[in-house]
Amino acid sequence: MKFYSSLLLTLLIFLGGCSGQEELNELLILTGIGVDLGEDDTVKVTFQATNPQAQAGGEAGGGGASQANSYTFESEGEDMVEAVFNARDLLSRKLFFPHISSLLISEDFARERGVHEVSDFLERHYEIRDSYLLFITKGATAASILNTFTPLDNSSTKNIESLTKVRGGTLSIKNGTELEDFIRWRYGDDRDPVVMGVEKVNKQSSSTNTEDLNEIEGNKSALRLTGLALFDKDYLADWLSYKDSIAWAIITKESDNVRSYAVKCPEDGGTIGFLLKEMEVKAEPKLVNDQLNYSVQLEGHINLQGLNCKIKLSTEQGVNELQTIINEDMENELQTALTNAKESQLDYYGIKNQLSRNQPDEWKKLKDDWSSLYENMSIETDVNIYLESPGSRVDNNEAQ
Amino acid sequence: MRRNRSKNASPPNHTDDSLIISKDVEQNIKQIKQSLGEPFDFISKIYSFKHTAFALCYIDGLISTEDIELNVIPPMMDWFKENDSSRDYVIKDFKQHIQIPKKLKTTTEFSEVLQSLLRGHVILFVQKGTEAYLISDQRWETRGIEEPSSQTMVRGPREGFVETLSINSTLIRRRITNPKLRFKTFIVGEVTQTTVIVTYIEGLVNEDALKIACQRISDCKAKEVFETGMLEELIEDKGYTPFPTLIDTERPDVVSSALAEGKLAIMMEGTPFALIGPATLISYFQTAEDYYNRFDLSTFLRLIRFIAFWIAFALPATFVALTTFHQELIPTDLLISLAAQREGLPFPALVEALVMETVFEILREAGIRMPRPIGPAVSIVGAIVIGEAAVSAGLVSPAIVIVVSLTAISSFANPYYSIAGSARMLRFILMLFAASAGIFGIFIFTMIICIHLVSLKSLGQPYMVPFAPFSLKKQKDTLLRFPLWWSKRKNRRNGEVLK
Repeated sequence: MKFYSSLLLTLLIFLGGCSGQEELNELLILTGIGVDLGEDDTVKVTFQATNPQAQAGGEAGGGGASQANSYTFESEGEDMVEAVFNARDLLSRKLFFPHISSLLISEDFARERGVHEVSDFLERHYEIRDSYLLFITKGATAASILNTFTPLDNSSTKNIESLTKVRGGTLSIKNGTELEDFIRWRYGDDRDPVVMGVEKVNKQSSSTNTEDLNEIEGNKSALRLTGLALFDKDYLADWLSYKDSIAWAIITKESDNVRSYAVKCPEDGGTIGFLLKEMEVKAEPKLVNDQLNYSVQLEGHINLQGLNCKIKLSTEQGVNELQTIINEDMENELQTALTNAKESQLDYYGIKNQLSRNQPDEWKKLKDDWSSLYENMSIETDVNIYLESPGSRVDNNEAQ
Repeated sequence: MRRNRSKNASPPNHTDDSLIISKDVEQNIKQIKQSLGEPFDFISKIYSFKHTAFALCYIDGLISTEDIELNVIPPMMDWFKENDSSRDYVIKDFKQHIQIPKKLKTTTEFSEVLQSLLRGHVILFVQKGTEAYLISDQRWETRGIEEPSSQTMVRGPREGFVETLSINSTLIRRRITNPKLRFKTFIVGEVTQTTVIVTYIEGLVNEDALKIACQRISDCKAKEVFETGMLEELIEDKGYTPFPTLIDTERPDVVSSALAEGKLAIMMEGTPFALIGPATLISYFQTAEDYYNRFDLSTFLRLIRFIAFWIAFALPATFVALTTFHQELIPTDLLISLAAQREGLPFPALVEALVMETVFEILREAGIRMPRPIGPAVSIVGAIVIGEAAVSAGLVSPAIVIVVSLTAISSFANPYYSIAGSARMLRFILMLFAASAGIFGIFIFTMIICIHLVSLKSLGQPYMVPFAPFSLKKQKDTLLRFPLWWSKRKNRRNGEVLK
């Protein structure tokens, strides 16, 4: 009896009868989603999906025309939910969301409709992770970016993802900005979010055909990251410049541990390029006598990568001079970035949040005067950089 | 499962109970011939003197004729000639003249005479005597001691057991020259009357296990026993289990080290395989070679064996579960290439896996059974069918071929064939679970197996020792093998274990 009852219990598991089972060739593996404004205030969703048949290469078929690595499908609806539902009528396979690497929202959409309906839908969907990258497309629709065949990578989304992951880029933001970051900043930390931007290098050219990849000029169909897109609540407010974006990454510690940086020489207009490493950043807002003060301390070591100035590094004097130039320049840049932030009245450095944690009592008192506090914020910067190595040589060749 | 023990009330070997030893030697020989059905290999010779006579008989091939011709017949002839004095005198005191140091037994039972004859004794009848003399002089053709083919190793002794019990016991005696080494003899099988011995070291052996083993062997009512595998089934603990509960080995060094660890071994006439018990699951992953090699290498190899066992058990199921239920767990690039392979394939992943596994099992079985010369043909066909043709014909995906071949290789990495067989069978069930409930199903089945394993016993001892019940001390020779000098039992190292 015991035997039979345990057998019965065991067989119960087979009653599920493979429900929820999906073979790989019944799935449409999505790699990216783009959201655009359609006509008449509708939402246009573009899905980018891989085409496994093309990736199989010569192995399976032989013969046969070569197919595109990925396909995009567009569908429209009143809002995000409807647009995704409408897509189901269009596609012969089940949409498979978990492998999406990036979500693209067009500049217009973010400016006019706001991002909340997109983030609501995606956050609720049980198949979609929140840990993929969020981008705002600058000067182009999301669809046009998804519809681009990019050199070196199988799909444009893969390309954008690698762009953020590659080390030593200009922005060098550690993990990029992900949807969950956006949601946390927007709703959790009471902080104005920033999102990475992406644009086409050559705005006129379109590369929607695999044939376009036969050209040697890679720039034509390449994509690149722009400065950060700045949000006021859910709506796109402005674009940050590269310099401000870099300052943002350094101050909020979102930066890679090792990043390249360049400053201008004071007199002759050359450039000093270096690798900034072992950065230690201390950025702290403080309320003193009903006055807001923001102090940033930056310490780090640098390895020189390029030097176009007339500085004699073989003397101690020259080294000190170089360090002073770099320190002052960086201080200036941090100052400018924070001043710009102050002027925009948007708190994307998370100052409010930091204050409420560090000085809860004072913050409660002064919370209502936030805008005047912020406007009159005093900024202190202190950069202390130490030249660790001049690289493989010391002085530049003397110009004759 | 209930054990089916035969209850034959009148075993065939006791039919000659009524016969007695006659005073006439000729009559005795005739009786033996009659009882054995006039066998062609029965040799008898009557040596007659004036007043008396003696007869020798034996079965050709079971004894050493040389011994008899040189050391038994001539002195007997001399002795009988000297004492051939009167008609009524029964010559008895010839024992000391038989010049072989073997056992000489006297009996008055005719049935015992027959028994001994069949076990390789020389029977001696004396005219007018009512007793038979049994000279134990077994010697028959045996296979030479060779390297065991089922358990080969790189380093270690090359000797393996043979089919002759007396040689096998010698192999153990040579390794353990300890006065406490014991051999207990049993006769098993109502028809075959096979000799079984249980060997152990007194004082070291687990007494409970020994008692259980002896009890079960003597209670065993089987009709025939030809191999220790049959015996194993008869003396196992009750209840079905897919796992072997006694270790089988061909290696005397394995048996010896098991004896030294306090285990017991069961050996049998007619098979080179000895059983070692009580077994634990972990002991199936340990080889004797582990102790011959350096400890770090041994630990590494042992871990490899565990991984291989797990792969052999779960890899195809995991593949099925991941590709049909949990695609989100596969890295994107790998998923895309798997999806590319699946394009245009006719069968679902489960069927694919089942078909390929079955094909492989067929090939493996064929590889064992086929006549030697055909071997290469089968392996060529196998390699082409599995590796190439099935993929290029679009029947299965290349990924499943990799999975199946990895599984197959892994199942060979286990030092014991019997436990690899368990993984082989359970793999198919696990695949069904994986195909109906994904990783969840795999967990359920693994859980069932775990619950089963902790409740399993081998000769009354828990099977999962030293994990359940857990013992920290014994962990130094389970998953890892710690160096021998870590052992605190110094007395054992000095060989003073029994003082």
